[in-house]
Amino acid sequence: MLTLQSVSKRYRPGRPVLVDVDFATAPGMVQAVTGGNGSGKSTLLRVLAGVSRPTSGTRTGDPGVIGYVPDRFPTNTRLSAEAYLAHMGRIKGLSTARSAERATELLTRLDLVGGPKTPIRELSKGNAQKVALAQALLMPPRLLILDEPWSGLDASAHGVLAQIIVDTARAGGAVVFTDHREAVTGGLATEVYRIEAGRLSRQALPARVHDTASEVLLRATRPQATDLRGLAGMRSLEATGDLVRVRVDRDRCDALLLTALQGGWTVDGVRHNDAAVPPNLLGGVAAGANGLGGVSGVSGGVGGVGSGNGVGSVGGPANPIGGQR
Amino acid sequence: MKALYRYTLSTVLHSQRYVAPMVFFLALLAILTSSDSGPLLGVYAAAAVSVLACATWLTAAVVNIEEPVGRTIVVVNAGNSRGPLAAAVAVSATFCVGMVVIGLSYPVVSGSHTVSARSVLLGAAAQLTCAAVGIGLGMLCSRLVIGRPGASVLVGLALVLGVILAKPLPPVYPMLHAMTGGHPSAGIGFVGYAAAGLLFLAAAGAATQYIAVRLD
Repeated sequence: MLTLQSVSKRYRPGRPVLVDVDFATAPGMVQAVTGGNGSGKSTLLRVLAGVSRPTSGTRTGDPGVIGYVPDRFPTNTRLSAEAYLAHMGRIKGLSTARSAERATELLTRLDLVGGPKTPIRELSKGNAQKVALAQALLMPPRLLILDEPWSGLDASAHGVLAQIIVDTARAGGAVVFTDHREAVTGGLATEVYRIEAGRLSRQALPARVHDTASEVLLRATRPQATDLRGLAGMRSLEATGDLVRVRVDRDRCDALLLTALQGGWTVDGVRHNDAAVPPNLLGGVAAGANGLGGVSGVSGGVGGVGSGNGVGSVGGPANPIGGQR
Repeated sequence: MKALYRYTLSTVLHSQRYVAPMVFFLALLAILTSSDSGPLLGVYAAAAVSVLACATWLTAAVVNIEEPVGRTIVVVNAGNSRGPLAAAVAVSATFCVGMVVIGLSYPVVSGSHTVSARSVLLGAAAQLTCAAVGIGLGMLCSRLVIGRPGASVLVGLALVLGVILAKPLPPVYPMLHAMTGGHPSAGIGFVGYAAAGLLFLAAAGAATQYIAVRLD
């Protein structure tokens, strides 16, 4: 556990970047910090990571292995992703063989485009960000610090990142991340903070959906479609012919959909029990078939699943909520 | 530490930032020592000045090689900020050993000198002392201490000229003076100069670390 008490930070005479910040990490917690540009989010994370020393106040506790992902990755690195990760693994105390093994595992999971032997300076921003993420995970972190980690990542990596955050917390690690979009933070965080002009305040957790379930109807598009059994948050899985009906925790639904789409499945239908569709989205949904058999309706995060047949996509049913609220 | 050293060396070799200071060293050495037929110790003094100037440049380049955000990642992964700085010093020292080997052998090859073991030993001590001082100066004018590159170059030049020309400042000026005719027989004095050089290196490292932590 790591605790900041009355921490202030001032880089040079002038306005302080952090003012009297109290903050504590805890195992299993996912803490989100929101705030505008220049509000002090990154500085807070640097203090937590032990890189930046507070001007006043204290940072106490030893969180163990820290994984730190900055908001941008150095662009002048001529080393290949593979070599860079091998070096970082060794610096963290892993053997060369184990570093290489973990690097391959993580880059495959994150789907690095360009290949592990490509110099980092030649990678796109999103792919460089994947390398940044991988270096933080070479050793399972007890404290994972992510500074606007979604920046530059493609949609498929969003799901993997969300899964990594959840897995780290479930393994007893603490996760602290920043994002300026409160909609993003609300979906994953167990605590949400807001920082403005260096002052940190605890926010009420947005209406959560983690206690509710989603049902997803999937159809295999190829014989070797990924086995979905055992995915985090899965409550049940029923297979009928080439159709599979999955019941999953609402907050794991997006991750399931991404995994399924990448693994050779197509989405025939989605239903969320909480049905929290913003009213302004409802007007834009045109009439269409309900593809989820006896399960009607769709809700919440409509724009996130664009490839589903029927209810999962914009352009679905006239009444997308379908009485399933 | 070994992992940090390997990473830093690999980064330096890939970046090729060592090329300019090494080429400058060879050029300076050639200009200052070629076709010289004077006492070998005097020529080694000129080589030591070359080592000092190039060690400063090289060390600043090695420390600056990592962008601030890249350094942050390395510091977090290493668990402290002393390790990466120590690795930069070790890599710079590796290049400096190469400079010293060239600085000891080139004057013998290119000029006409009476070579003695004593001259070579004193020359090696002098060049290694200058390397230690140069590494210390390089840290002090690196990005960790001076944020603006232009100011860093000016401060580096001023510091190198300062330690070469400032009479009361040990160890460089008194050592070079002794080598060029002052007290060439004072072998014991070179142990003191080397100790002072190492002490300066340690002090510069501590000062750089202190300032870098406060600026981070």
